[in-house]
Amino acid sequence: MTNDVNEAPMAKPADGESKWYGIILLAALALLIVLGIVMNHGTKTFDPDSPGGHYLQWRTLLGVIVTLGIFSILYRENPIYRFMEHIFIGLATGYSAMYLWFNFVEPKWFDPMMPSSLVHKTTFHEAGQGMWWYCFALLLGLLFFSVYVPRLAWMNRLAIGIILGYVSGAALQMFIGLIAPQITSSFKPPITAYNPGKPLPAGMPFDANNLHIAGSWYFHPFSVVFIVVLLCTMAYFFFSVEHRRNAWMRKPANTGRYLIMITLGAIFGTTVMGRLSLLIARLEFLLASVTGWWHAIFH
Amino acid sequence: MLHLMQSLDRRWIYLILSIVLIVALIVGKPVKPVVLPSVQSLFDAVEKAPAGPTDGKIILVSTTFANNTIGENGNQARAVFRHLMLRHKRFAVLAVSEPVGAEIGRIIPTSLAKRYGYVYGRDWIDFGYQVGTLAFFKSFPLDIPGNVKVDAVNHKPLDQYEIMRGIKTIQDNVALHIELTASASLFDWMMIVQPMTRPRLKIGYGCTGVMAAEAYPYLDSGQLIGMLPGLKGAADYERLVDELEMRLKPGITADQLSFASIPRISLYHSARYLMFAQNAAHIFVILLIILGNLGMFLTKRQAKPVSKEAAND
Amino acid sequence: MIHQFRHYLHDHLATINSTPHFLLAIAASIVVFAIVMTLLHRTSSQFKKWLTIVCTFAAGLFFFLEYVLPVHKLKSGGEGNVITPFVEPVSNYIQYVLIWTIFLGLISLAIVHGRRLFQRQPGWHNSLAFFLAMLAMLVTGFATRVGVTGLTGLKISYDSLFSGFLLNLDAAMFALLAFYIASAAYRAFRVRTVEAALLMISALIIMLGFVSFGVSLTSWIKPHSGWAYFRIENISLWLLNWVNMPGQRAVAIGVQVGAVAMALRLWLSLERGAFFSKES
Repeated sequence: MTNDVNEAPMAKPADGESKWYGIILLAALALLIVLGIVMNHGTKTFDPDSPGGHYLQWRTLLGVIVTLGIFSILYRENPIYRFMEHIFIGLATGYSAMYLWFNFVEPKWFDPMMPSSLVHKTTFHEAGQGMWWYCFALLLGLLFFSVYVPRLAWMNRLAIGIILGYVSGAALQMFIGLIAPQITSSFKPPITAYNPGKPLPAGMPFDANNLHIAGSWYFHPFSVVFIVVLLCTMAYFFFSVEHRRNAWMRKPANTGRYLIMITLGAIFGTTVMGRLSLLIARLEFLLASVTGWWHAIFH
Repeated sequence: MLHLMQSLDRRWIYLILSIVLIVALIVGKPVKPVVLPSVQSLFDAVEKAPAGPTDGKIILVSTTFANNTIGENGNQARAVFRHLMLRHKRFAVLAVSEPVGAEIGRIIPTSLAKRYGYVYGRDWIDFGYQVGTLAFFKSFPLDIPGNVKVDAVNHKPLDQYEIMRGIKTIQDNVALHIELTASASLFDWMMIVQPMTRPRLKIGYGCTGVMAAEAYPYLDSGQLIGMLPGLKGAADYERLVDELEMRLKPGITADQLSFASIPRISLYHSARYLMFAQNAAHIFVILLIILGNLGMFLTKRQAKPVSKEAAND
Repeated sequence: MIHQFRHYLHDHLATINSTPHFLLAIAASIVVFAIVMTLLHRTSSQFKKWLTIVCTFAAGLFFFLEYVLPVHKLKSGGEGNVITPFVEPVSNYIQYVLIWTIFLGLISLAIVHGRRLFQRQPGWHNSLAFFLAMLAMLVTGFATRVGVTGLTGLKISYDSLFSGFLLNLDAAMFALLAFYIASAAYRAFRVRTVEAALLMISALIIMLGFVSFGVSLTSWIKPHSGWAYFRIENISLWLLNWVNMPGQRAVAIGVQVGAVAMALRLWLSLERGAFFSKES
């Protein structure tokens, strides 16, 4: 490894590569398939969860190979990583199409459209209903493909317009469903004439956000913090009034910028935790696989 | 030394990070985390949920995540299912617009069911994969069996199962919904389903660490009853479930609790065990941040005397 | 008579269960659709634009009205208005139309990789791997689902592709991000300004608050004493609940208001741009 700070970015050209890389990788894939056939040859009944048997070993081997293949990009951009990446895209594409067909298109569109003379009619699956007019859904869906023919591209705009209208019409109710409770719960008075009666925070001798002043009056200092942060953050994103010329907007907006940094820090902290968890899970798999093989070979 | 610090190749960082995590995974042991209030809230909500065999209600668990977040959501799901089974709560599993989640949502409860004496069709049921369309979210709350029709395991009509007797709407028959997800599917439930119910449907949220910070407003407004943020949330919930199990089964030892290894979906250790590695990783990242900035400050300091001399010339 | 006519339409036209009549209906649908689209294609571009605007507005109006019109008890049970019974079938129908867009993605990928493969451009072997993987998944997946019996090899192949390749590739891709975060923490996270310092301090407190090591740093502060608020896990929680939370809420409200404004502009076709005003 070199300590070259000015190294080139990760994405890199196939230009300087040997022309034999493709043949070698495809041959390696073929060899892997042959190995899989050899390992699973003679399996009479397939049980993916069977603890013994060669299938589990084969699946683990595949997992280790593809994981290390993907991790190889950490060293540098290489043909193995790109090969694995393309296999991933191919598998994901095929899987999505297949799953969508069997779990949505076939039970909800194709089977109900077909007549009972062609598809076995069932009471709960809605198959064989003979709803021929469902075919218009396919015809309308074909309008999306007019994007490939420039003269007919207006049909694509028509189809997309309908979809945009559909989503836009539903946007208002989604906004109210999501944001209305947010707005109502933003009203946190700093001083109240009653005890909100919230339970004591776990492990605390007193609730610092519920300070008794006198009589039945209570002061909530954290509510002040909440109001300041909320208003200053909203001021920062409020562009209808120019910040430069208006001190009433400029000062809260500047304060909001600093407070947003704390929010971003929280996001960064939780993101680090989240991303590292993904790596820990992968390394756990690699370790468990290698440990399993070690025990199998040497014990 | 300073030059080395400033120009360290990132591949050394990758290598050291890998070594730190592998060593932590080898020598690690389950930690006893301080439970977050949001995790405790969800635990209490499950405890109080009227979803026992005679209550006429079920708990809906959404496993809308794929294998890429199995470390976080998978551990959350395992802890939640253990809790539900310990307390004999009846539940239904579904995955909205996530095919792999549908598989995982079947595999985890099936692996745990034998240990807790749970019977499919009587104590739990799998609704499987559902397409997350607007039509689904608008009609599913009003007619659950009408929308799901058949279960995902045996492909039989839902009315043939004991658990589904009397289960019709979310308003009347769902005590709690727990959304374990790595996508934005929670917002569909909050935007469309929750406003349709009075009182508001209780929703618990198990998310990845990345999404945890943005969920706090919904906790405050009451739209979420509790939250499991990433692996930390899974470890906290697991601690609560372990303590509950040890209380309910006095003879059980701590070693016997680490049974729920499910290699099929790469769940080998408990979440609390993995938190040890998370600890190590956090310490490493914090050290990296400090070292990086230290190097920058020292470099600046070294550069200053030179510029002062130049100014005096 | 209208009632009888409606019944006749429903009984004889809404559903067709004989194969010849069904095929005739499909053929007629295709012909009618082709004729309508041909006639529309011959209209002026102004008319086509107007048609798009009207269809967009009508699609949005349907759901908007369903939400704002007063509700009453419905015969089928539950509450709703005159439009509510049609929401599910219309939404489902729109989904059946949308579902075909997945093939747009497939076609685009096939064009890009097909060109690379057949013209033997550099990296052709990657494109070949893409096609092989996609076809293998489609074939084994379909065969397994359709229930082709007696072929254990097919089931093994499908599970190998799914559990062996796809799930592990997916997980490995995401695991790479952790390395990049660590690298960014060292090389890019520089505290040069007050804002960066605030970000870093906040991030460090949150990260320490979540792990046992961080908690142990302030474990000497008695948990039930008045100083307990200064334990790192409590500071972290306070930051999350009282600084992060309102900030996130402000951003969420702003984003959603912007989304509604944008939705309104799209619904009323007020948006201008290359897509919306370009004529073929």
